[in-house]
Amino acid sequence: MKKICLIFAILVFMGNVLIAQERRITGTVTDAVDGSTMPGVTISVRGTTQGTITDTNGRYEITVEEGATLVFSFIGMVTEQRVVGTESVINVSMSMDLATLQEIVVTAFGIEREKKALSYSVQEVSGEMMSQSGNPSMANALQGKVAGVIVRQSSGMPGSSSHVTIRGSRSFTGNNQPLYVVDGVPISSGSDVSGGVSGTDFSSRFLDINPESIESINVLKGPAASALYGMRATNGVVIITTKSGRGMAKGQTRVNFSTNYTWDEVSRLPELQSTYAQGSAGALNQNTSLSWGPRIDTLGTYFHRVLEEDYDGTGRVFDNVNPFFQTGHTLNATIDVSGAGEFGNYSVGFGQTDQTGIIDKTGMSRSTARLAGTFNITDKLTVGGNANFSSLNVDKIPGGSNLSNPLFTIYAAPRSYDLFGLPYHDPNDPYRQIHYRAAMDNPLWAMENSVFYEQTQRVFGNVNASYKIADGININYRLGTDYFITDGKEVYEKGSGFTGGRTNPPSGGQIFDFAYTNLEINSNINLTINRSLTDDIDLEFLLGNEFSDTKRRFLENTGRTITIGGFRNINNTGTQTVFESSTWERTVGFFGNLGLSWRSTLFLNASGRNDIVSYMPEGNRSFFYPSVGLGFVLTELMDQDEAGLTFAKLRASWAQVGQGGPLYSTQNIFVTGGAADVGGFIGGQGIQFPFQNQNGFTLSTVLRSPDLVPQNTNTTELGFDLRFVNNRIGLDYTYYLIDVTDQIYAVPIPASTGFTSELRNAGRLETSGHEVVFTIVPVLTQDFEWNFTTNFSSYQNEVLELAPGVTDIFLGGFVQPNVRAQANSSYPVIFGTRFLRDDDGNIVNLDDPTSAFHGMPIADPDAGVIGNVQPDFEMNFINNIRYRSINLTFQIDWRQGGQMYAGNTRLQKLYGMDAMTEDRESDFTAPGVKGYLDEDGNLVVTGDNDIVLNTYDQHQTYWLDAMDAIDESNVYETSFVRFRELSLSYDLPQSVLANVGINSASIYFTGRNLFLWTDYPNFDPETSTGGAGNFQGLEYVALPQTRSYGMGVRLSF
Amino acid sequence: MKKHTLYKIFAALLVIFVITACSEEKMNEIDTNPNSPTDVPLSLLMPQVTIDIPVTVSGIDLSWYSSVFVEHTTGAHAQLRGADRRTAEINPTMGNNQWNAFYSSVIPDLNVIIEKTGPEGSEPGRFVHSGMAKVMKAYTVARITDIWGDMPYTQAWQGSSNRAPEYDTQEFIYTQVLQQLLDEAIQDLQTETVYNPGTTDLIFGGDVDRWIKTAYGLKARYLQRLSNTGQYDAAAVIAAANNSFTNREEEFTFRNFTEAPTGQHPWYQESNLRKHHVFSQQVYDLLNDRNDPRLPIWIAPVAGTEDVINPAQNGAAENDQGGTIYSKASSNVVYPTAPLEMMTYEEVLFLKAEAYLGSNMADAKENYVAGITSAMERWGIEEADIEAYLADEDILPAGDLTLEHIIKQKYLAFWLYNPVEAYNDYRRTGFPEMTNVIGPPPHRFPYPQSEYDSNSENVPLGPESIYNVKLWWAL
Repeated sequence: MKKICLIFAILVFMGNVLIAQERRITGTVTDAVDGSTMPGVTISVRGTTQGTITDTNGRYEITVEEGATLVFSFIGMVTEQRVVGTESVINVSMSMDLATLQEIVVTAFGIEREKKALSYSVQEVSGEMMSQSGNPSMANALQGKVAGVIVRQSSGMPGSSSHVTIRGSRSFTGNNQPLYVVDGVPISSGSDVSGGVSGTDFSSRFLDINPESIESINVLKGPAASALYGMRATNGVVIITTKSGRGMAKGQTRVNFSTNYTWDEVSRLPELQSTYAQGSAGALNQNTSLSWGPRIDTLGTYFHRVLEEDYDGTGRVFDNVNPFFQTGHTLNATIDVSGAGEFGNYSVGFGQTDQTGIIDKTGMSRSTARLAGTFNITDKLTVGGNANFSSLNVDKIPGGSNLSNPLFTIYAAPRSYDLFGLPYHDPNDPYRQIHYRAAMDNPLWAMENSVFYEQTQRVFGNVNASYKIADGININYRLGTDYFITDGKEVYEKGSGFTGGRTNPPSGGQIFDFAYTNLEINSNINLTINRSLTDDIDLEFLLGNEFSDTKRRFLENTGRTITIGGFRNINNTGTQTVFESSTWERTVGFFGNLGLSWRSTLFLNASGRNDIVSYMPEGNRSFFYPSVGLGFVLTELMDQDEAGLTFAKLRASWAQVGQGGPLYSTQNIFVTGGAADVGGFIGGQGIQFPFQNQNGFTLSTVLRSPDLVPQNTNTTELGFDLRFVNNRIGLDYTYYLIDVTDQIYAVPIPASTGFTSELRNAGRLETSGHEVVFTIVPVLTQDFEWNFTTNFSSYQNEVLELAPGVTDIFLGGFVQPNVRAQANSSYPVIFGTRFLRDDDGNIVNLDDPTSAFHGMPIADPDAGVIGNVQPDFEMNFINNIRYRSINLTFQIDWRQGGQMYAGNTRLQKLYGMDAMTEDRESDFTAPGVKGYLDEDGNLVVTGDNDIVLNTYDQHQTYWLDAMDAIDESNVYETSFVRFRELSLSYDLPQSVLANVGINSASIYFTGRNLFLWTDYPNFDPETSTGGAGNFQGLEYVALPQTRSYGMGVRLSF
Repeated sequence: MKKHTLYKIFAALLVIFVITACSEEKMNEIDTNPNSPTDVPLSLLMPQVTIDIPVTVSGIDLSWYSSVFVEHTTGAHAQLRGADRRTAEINPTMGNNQWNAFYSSVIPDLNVIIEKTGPEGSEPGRFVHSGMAKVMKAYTVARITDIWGDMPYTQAWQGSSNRAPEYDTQEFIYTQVLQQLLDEAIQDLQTETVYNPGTTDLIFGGDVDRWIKTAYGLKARYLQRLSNTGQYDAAAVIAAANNSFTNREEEFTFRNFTEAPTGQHPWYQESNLRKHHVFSQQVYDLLNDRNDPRLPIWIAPVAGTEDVINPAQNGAAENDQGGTIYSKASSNVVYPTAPLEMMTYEEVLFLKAEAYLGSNMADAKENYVAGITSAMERWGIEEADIEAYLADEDILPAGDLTLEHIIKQKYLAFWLYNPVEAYNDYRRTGFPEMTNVIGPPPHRFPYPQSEYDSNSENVPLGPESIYNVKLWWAL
């Protein structure tokens, strides 16, 4: 310190002694990487208040005294200094500062903080990364970009939902998806309706955000980072900052235009047998769903039941799969205008996305418009606003075990049946279907006659003001809203098998109209103080209040029995059943945060938040959650560059956050009754009120409790951040332990209590995990730059306890198999019928020559866990290579472990359609041992299995009856390596562009999902029937994923 | 100074806003459920329970599985084919949803009615309502014990104060619960009251006499069930039966299904949507061998054919998902508004015939013949045809009538909509002999998976016991 003072004194002295000589200096500031000029660079004269900035052409002019030091600074660039000598032109080229590039991060409530000061892990994704591959879905574009964030896309259909979790799950049955905050205001992001095993998928609400409008995304992974958001942030927070013109040079206006076009195709189709015809036991049967018939090459002539004439079927093998799919197209276009000036900054943008799916009649259309701006009213008062509008239409088809799901037939249509060549309805009656199997819809008929769509109109945004009370003291207020209406229609036409309408004459039909509205108001006021307390200690203080109020309303109208076919109005139905549900919830939170830093070396952060929530019982509504963290920058105490170490920080934090239970869970209720079938025999039709002009109510089977308290999440996080060789190598490691106690969920209780479940606090879920972000810049020259990032994440989600006497709870699926949370197992698990195994784990095959199942696996009489859904780890490899003006980015994802019930493959096997069933003539001995269960149910093993299955009937019985009765036989590993994204871009040279008034232009080519290596059979292992719900790990005739190729242009004026 | 005041006003407004926005009163208002009431009147509960009894308790899963077990039908598709072939489909999940519906929906609603109409309740003095609820409760409890055996009763329906109810024995249910409930019901129903459920009673439209006769009929049924136990009292059966139905009009049959898709007979919905059941060889043979005039009315030719009759042998049916291989019950039987019999007039006659068997053969025969006659008349059979049928020595022997005669006729009379009672009779008497090629049906349904999951310490038997542990009243 003394030394610096001395030098300073000498300089001042010299300046006074020498007769100051004034000089006019001009020059241009350029980017060291591409040589482009840099507008908006600040040039200051050290030791004075004098300064200027470069103009739009990167030029500056300043008059200074000789010997003065010019300091050139620009955010994200290494600051350059030049001592003024005798020259009159000083040109400077600036290069990127890798150290500071990511230094500023957006944390809770939009507060920007130095990354260095944080005691927890956050990871940022730039808007460029989000939009580079032209993915129209923000969440899907996020896949693989952030360690610890897992995105499970339900399918590749336009507008399909995704299930996003950060560091695993917190809640058995409640919401496990993160909170999304756009420009400081939390918005609704989940699906309005979450998925089940049957029916249509509902889009997730983050689809309303155009990825092109995103400036950056910050993921606050742990509760320590998100604690200030209170109860809603247990699952982490995704903070989205949209483009606003902020940070642009004053006087600058920029117009950005980008467009891209993508071709989508189905990523994977099942491998089918092509030898055997429709039938059973080797005999032709034209009405069965089975393909256990005779060899197609021996079929001969038979009476065709559809054509009603003799038909030579010999050798006629039909492709019933490929003709169903088409090439999908996606066109994205976004234009935005941003600018800044003395008044502030603004950004206006429009976006349009049009997508047609890989299946006819599916598609998505999205229009977005937004306006954002900040205005400096006085030097103390800034006001701003932000408005986003979006209009989204999704056309879709039903998936899962829905009798109208076309894929049920497409994947399983017998090879001897000419699905696309034969008529699909009676020539005299368009609603009387022709199909080889009963009950189900002919896919061609369903595609022509069924209609499913949803449309969402949404407005969200905020107005805000910031007032500077004094230096370092600000008061900020933000009032935000999120309002949307989703409405839609689902028409199962008259004659649809879904409604039992395949009668003669056709009957049934169903029209389902729905509208969901959501209105959320969010008000946030806070006071911030940033002060230096002493020379060494700096203070950051925050105190605030948040008010959040959400009202939702669901209106559904189901009309049954369509009177006139083809007239798709609900008035055209025989009976209508209405359903209405309204909810209202409110949270009022008070929060405070205190940050202290000592010499930029030691950072202490403590926060507290008290929430008062409407949906907890009276007297139990107020809760306090604290967090504390410590960061220690070791390198501040070392000499720079010691052992190549540029930066080293250790961090530790602890936080507690709660999560509330479902709404209206404190009082027992009566619900609309009826007598639906319960075992799935009549598809939930049953008797519904009003019936015979009466209405009926029944006591809810869920026991509610006035004694609920919020569940509690305790998180401990430890980590370090090391950077070497001038930041060219970085290693960021985090370990975390998340312990959730007092889960609120519907605890199953014996029905003999009078209820099937009880909402109460019980159970404990623990998650521990590791995250590593490794970055390296192997090459960095003027012309060639290579950035490589690896994300690694691995976690164990374990259910430590459910409730006394409760061993597992049902999350979704079928009677069997299903997905459950099970005590002392990872979360969630797949539950179903297992193979009977001996003590050594060998599969036991029945040894009973009198049985048709002789030599085939025996089902264990006790069902149990048949698979773990959680993967062992996920790794993502992101390469960014630039050579002069060519940029190549590609991402490879590797998921190891995790299992899924392959419902689709199961059907293929039992129907005798899977390529696995192709060989029906060779001798076959099932692996394992042989044995039987004696009368007391004890296993008797009689030796290694040597029973040969050699008849056609045995092959059929093996697949159709023996294996099919064992759910475990359909559980497969979901490990995969996937070439997720590729983007190749070329920036047109400045010399060409300058003449036509274009600032920058690039063209690019993209690919998504280009290759997939996996052992998972037939379908994409990332497909899920559960959509955006917690029920993951079960796939059942899910809609397929896509592979895409595209190209695009970005222009900036 | 002025600025300071503004701050103060602003701060004060903010405090007021925040405090009113999260007061307990405001939060209570917000937390009031606008979708579901916390209490409903009897007039909204009565339609629910009177549709539950014919559908949930009598019309769906249990009856479908029982039908296949007792060979009223043959399962030719999916779960029911599995049950017919005794595969792993016979497991604790098969009756799970029914058990849950009985315990957590049907009986709790009946209990609410009984409670509400009690002296402490919100609608006291509704004796017809409470009497009906008790009849329906006895009917449901009997169904539970007949299907599963021992069952929680004395410790059941206590919510969170007993999360693991212990089981009562079937003997306890039969000797300490059912008759007492029915006696109380009869007493309530015979009490003078101005309150009548009227059209909210979807079964009888508030006809008290028919409820009383139903209560007596059920008493007779449950007393007769004790024929293998030391508690059997034939005279008590006859006494109860004598107070029961005197014709088919009065009987415990649901006749109010509608043509609307959500108002149709559950068997019709099942046949329309899934087609699990086909005509069994057993019933076909019993009818055909004796030239039973009901056969052509009951059986339908194979779909798509004019006259191909092809019943399916139990245990050996091919998968007939398309409904093109086997014959099914005809549309004379299965149609949207078909009546669903829960206890018929002829059952009362057969109960009396059986009760007289040990003491008065003449009365036994008289009731037996009356039972057959009523069962035939139900299907519009001409008197001459009935007489011809009764002329068959195998049907009506000149000598003594046996239990087998009665139960066989009862078995046919229970077809198609009361297979559970046929299954009960089979397990009680061993008649008629079962023909399933794989083996006899299980003695009981396995206890539901939910009991193994959350009341494991109290479930008396494991799932494997269904083939070797019989019910208390069984043969």
